[in-house]
Amino acid sequence: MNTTHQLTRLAAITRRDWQIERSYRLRYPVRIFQVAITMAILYHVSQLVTDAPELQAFGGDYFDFAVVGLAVVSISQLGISTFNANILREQSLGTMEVLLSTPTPIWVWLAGSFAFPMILTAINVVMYVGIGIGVMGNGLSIGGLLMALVVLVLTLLSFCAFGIAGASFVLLLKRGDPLAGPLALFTSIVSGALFPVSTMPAPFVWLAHAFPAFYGINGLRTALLTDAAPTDVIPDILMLMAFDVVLLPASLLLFNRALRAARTAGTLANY
Amino acid sequence: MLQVDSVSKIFPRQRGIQKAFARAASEDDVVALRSVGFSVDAGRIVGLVGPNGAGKTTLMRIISTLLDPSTGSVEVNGYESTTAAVDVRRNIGLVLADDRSLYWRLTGRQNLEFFGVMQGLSRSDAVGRSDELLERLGLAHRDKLVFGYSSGMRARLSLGRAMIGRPPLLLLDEPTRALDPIAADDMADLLRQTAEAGVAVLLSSHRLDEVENVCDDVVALVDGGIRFDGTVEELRCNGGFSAALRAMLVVDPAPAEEQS
Repeated sequence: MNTTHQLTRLAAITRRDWQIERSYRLRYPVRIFQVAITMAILYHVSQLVTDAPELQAFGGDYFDFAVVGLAVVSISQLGISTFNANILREQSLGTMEVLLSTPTPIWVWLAGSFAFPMILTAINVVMYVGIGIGVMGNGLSIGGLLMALVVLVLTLLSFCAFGIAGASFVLLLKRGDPLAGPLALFTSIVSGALFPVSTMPAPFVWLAHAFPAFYGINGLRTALLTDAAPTDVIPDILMLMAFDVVLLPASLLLFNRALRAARTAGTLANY
Repeated sequence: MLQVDSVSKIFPRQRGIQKAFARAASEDDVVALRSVGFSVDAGRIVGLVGPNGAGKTTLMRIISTLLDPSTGSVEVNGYESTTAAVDVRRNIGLVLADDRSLYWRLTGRQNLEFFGVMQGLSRSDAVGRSDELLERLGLAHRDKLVFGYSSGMRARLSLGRAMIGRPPLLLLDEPTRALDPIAADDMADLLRQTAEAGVAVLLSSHRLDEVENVCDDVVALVDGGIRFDGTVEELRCNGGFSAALRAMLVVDPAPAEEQS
């Protein structure tokens, strides 16, 4: 089957998700409202946090600082939760086995099911970064946008690896992905999304450095909030690439083994 | 078209992490199929009958590559199910005994178009084929969300989904379970027409009258093993179709108790 047909399949899966989303009329407006409310709350908190020395390295404004953190949190949640949510959805709808009985390759199914949620998250990120920093905050460093995009993509890939690993647990254990909750918490708190890592106790600082979200958040802030040269983001980009090179193949291997085990045990459709 | 050779399936006792998390882990291996072998030729409809728990659905899942056999092999149109699974999937259309196997928040047409592309059709072919099948299944003028379909409409749509890619083998697990007698007769006519066009059909059913009227051949499964593999005509000559089949489908109480 040629590449064109795999792209047709990817488009069909995206169209399916769009059609399902559209059948719930209020769902997307509610999401937009949630982003707007979050930004409004952060904006008011930022009025209370002024002249914090820890923020000087990132332009000094708490609102801009936190909005970039939230953009990375959105990206991380997309990667962590989309794959296992899709598997649980197909299992509970009863469509999992029917899909797996078609000649559609697993990677097309995984990538296709990821596309529509990624579009929705991209809109959130544009709202956080574009409207948040560009309009309500101190303004974006336009020169850093390209590097920011590279950082976002690499961060997303590393969280996709966690998501695929989590989906393997869902295939085997059904409910109770042991990765999703702790990772989401870790990203929000320890990686410096809402406050600088330098303000935390030393063990947490070490933990933060062992986790890709830290480099994603740091790289994005450097690219968008400072006048730093693009080369200043390269250390973060290299760290993210190292995480991706190790985590992605490992997670795909784990998923394949989980799928094989579920096929042998006959538990593919159980949920 | 379909060749099943000495297929056995043993669900092993759960071990390690799966046993630790399983709610009701089995203490012993469960033998679901015991050296099952039969074939379905192009243009023939084979009825798969047996009491609950006989292994019919397990067999359907193995043929459709959703489950790996413990031993033995399955060949569909010349492709072996474990070594050429993608080619096997290209050659089958599957209806599972579960009317949830459709997207309820999509319309019938959207479901067919989606599964058509997944099965390997181009977008335009999938649209054209969906129109044709909706017309043929009597669903063309009721294109609403599947959520609003009756059970019978969903059963017909499931059959349409299985037929969308024009597969040479249809695997149908109790497709008429939710249909009223008239709709079941319509589906039987459709299956006969489909078989006359050269499609092989493996039809699992609990309705012996349906099997007698629709099928050419019968495979009777009891406790994971084959009790009968022959033609409908042979059963008719052996004391009447239903009586002969009922006598064969009696479960030996000893193995049944062992399993429970």
